[in-house]
Amino acid sequence: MPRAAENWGTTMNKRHDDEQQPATGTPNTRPPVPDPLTQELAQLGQNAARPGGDLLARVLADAEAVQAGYRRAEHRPTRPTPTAAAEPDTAPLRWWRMPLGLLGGAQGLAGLASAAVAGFWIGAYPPASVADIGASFWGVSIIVEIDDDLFFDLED
Amino acid sequence: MPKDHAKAAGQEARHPTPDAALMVLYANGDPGAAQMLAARHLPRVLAFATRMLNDAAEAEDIAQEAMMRLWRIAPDWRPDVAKVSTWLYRVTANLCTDRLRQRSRLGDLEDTTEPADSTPGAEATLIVADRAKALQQALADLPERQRQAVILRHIEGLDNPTIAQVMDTGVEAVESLVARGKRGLSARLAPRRRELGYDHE
Repeated sequence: MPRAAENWGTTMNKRHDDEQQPATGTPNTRPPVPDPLTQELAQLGQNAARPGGDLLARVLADAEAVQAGYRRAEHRPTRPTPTAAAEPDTAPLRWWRMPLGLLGGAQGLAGLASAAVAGFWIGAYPPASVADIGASFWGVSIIVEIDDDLFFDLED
Repeated sequence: MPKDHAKAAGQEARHPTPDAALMVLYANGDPGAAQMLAARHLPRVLAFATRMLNDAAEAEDIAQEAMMRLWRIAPDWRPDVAKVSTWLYRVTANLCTDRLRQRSRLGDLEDTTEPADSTPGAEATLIVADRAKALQQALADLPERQRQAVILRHIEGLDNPTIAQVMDTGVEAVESLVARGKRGLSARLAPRRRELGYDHE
């Protein structure tokens, strides 16, 4: 017999006859289901474009060409500097290993450091010629290639 | 010697070389490292670029350029700063943004490119293909940042902190972009619900 909505001094909005109901699931206890849109998006991902042999070949050819450049740079004797680093310099001399004076002192270095981190994240890199220890290395301003178009405004 | 190669391959399958190690190997001239990195990462890069640009040919250009940047940064790779996959997503996202801005500068405001994966299907699968096409088009109509967030979250399956790294923003902003993006998609798909068979669910 359903319990009457007894007056406890408050307005009863709910029927309190749960004890008399069989223990089947109610709408409130249904397990969460991913919304249809999420499922559709996941399905879209199943049909992802696969790289063709052509693209892979081009990518690997690029890799080999760049790697060959590293091998050439490694075999070149490193130029001794007055502030020779403690570690043996076996890798191609990167621009941030140059003597501090050539980089504009500590102030210049701070700007370059933040540019370097920013550069790391957007895939910028010094011109290939900088990795080679050549005459142009000493007379050139240190420039990290950053394409202006890559800096976008946040929409939000 | 064949025996050594087989042993090495077996070991590789059980203990795949971490990306950070592959980057060092590659920078130091290892002949197999690039192939492994490409096998691991090129598919995702291409898939993401294709979703963002809705153009297969442009996506291939972007994918090749993103991988090129990976090869170029190898000697300076910072495993403490990022995972290779996250880094590639971000570079790809930036390249896609750049390409999309070029498109709009050229006056191509209407995205008239054919969806990259439009597939004519048999009658039985036609409704599914139509839905996929409609969803891809609705994605293409979203504002770029919302599109990026939705793709990274629900197609690429990244978690919000990773997406925040890729998009150079905060986790809350990511959540907001995903939510707004999904509302935008629902709104764009709503007029076509009956036609696409959603109302039967």
